[in-house]
Amino acid sequence: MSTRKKNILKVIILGDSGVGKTSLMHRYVNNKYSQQYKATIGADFLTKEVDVDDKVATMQVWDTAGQERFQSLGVAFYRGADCCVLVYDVTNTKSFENIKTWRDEFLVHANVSSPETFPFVILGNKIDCEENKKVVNTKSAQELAQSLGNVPLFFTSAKDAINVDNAFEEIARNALQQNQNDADAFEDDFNDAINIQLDGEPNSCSC
Amino acid sequence: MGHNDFLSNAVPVKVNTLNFIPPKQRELKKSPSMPSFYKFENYTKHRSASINRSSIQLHDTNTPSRIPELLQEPPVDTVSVEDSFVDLYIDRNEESPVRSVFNRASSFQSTTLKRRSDITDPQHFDRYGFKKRTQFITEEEYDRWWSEYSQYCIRRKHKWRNFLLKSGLSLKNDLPEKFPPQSEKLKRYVRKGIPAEWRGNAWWYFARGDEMLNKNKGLYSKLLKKVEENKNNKNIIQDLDVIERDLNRTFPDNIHFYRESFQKEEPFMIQALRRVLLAFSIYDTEIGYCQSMNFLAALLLLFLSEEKAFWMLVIITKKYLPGVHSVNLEGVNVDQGVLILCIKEYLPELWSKMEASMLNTTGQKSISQFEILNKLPPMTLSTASWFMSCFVGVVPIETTLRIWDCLFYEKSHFLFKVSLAILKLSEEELLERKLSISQSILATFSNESLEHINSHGSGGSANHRSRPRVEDMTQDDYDMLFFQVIQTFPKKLLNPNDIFEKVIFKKKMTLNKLDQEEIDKVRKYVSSQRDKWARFNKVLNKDSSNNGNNDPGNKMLYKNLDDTSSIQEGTDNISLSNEEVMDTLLSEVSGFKRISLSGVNWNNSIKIRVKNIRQKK
Repeated sequence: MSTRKKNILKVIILGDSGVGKTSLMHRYVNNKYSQQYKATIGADFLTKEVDVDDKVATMQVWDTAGQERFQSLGVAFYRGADCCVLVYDVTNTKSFENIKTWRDEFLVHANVSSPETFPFVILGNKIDCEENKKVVNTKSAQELAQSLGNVPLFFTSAKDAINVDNAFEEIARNALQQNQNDADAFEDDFNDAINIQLDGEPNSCSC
Repeated sequence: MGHNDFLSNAVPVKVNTLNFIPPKQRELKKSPSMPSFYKFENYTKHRSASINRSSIQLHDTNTPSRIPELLQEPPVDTVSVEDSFVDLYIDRNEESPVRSVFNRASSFQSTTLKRRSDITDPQHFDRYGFKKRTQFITEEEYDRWWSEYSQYCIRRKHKWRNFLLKSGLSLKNDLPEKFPPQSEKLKRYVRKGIPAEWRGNAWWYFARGDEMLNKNKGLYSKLLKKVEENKNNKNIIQDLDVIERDLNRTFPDNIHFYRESFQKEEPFMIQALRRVLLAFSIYDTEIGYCQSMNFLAALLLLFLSEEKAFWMLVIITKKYLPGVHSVNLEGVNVDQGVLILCIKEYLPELWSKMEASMLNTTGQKSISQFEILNKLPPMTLSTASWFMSCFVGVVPIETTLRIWDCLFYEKSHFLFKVSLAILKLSEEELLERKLSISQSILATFSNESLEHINSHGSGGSANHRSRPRVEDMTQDDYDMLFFQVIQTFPKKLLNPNDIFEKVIFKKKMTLNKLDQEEIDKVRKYVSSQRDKWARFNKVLNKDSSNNGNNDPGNKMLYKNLDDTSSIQEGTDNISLSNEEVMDTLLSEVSGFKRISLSGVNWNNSIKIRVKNIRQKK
């Protein structure tokens, strides 16, 4: 468990190679899109100041490599995440089928306090593509989202800036909630250890 | 030939070079698998006033004041600087044997390739076809730097020429195939940069490419044939999809790899890249295809023939970076562990900051080396890519190439050395940024929103922030900044000499004592430590599952090693055989020349813990 009680929200984007993780991150953080993104090796992160429901925080968005074998590198930094974004490509069935695997993999390594309530958000990206290329239908996506515990689902296009801001607002809200829950739990459990920094009212947070 | 020709079918890409001719023309006839897509002509023959040339015009700067050495030491042969301008264009009509394998049925020659002038205006591209402007460097910055660096390259090339002639080596066609025997002088020359147009040959020579090729004559063609026969069979070519997805995500900023949306035919380089990667994936099935190999192969293709590029990829993945691209990426983890130990050894100041960061993340009071090597710090997510792609895309291209020169001459330890050098340089940046961020934190304090956080925020940080001081930057702020700097600082290292002159050539810097022998030893050490961890993990896992504990093994282990108290509490769950314990505690030294006590330290700390466990029993 981290000692951070600052409002830094750690958000991790996972999903198969080429589904648009890097594009989504850049669209959200810089409101830019380029055809020229390179394959991500290891991980990159960008930060953005967010203001959700009158709360200000710094969101750390972590973009990861999608190839399966890179999962063995990611283990260490999954820990301490506040929200996990699972991305698939609406034109790629396999990337959709792997959503559950990505989620499970994350839970194994992230060491989250309560896996049942940990916030995930699913994004079906590339909805700008031609209709006949869309192979993952909306209904099965909704069913999956529901089966994973009513996970919020968004259909996005990083290219045309469709729904990206909405999705990330939801991500930020979930992350903030998780962050505060964790902070509370932390304070309950380890009140003595961090007393020096507290003002004596560990549960004063009004979230 | 004027600017209009630029839009016509031949797609000439005017690149102002210092004799840079990738890959060498002479090889066209010799190697059957040579991609014959380059054709070079003397720039001067076709030069016309209307050609939009790059802002660096060497013939304009060919004056005593600008290139003193050039005049003091006239070129050995008669090639003038002006002659060295070449037109480089993709020739769509020459059919190479390799290409014919793939394009028998394709409409390869039927399409005329056209590029829009605004995108391909050569002024915006460097001598290898990369866009000068990046997210971190403006075109003006590039041009300003290049106007000096190009002079440096000319000076270096004259020195190389003299060196080679004195060593009795041939400079025929300005393309030497052999280089002098290993010496301090040669090492210095390589470190100062191999002339760009000799690079392919030099890399091939230093990496002993011929040995590899001679042992495997004809194999590449056979592999290509197998690829062609199974091109839709995912059972045989398992990495087909992943490779395909990465082709256009390799060098989208390079004119030889970039495909306009209206182009029907994909660039020849993309096709070559596909062949090399597919062939490799069936050649070395333990690796198959690993993202980052696309960058290695693509850069090789700019300097070597396709077949040679393939074998160089084999040499890099086998000899220089063993295990780094394998399915479990264990080689990456080992090398990152080695890097961490190197930081500890050679950059102690940086290490102390990293250690503080690790303690912050894990919430522990202390952390043993054993744990560090197995739970690598987050920074290694970024530095892993430095090794996997050998700095391609990590630092700007001229800097990458200088690193590659040394990599092939000095072997893999140079990657560690240059990583340390970059980290050393980034410390300054870190300090500067830290200062400016601290100031902005101060500035934000007057901001209402923060007061809001003060009232709503949870405990410590809000309280902390009510007394703003520069030192108040929290560990979290610092960690974020640290990763940001590690991520972006290298991308600004436009001038390779910043690394070489400020660090690598400074003999007094202890990190320059690092050598291959040391790296090999430390690699062995880290690898064995990680093996032990895995076995340790297995034992704990077995025991915990016996007790009906469903915790995944590694989680269990992390927990137990994270703090001593839980080990003591969890005594009932742990039983280790004598053999396992002894094995785990087997003392080893880390392999650094200066014998470090750290290896002994971690052994002692584990020893005490296990002793505690046993006493409780």
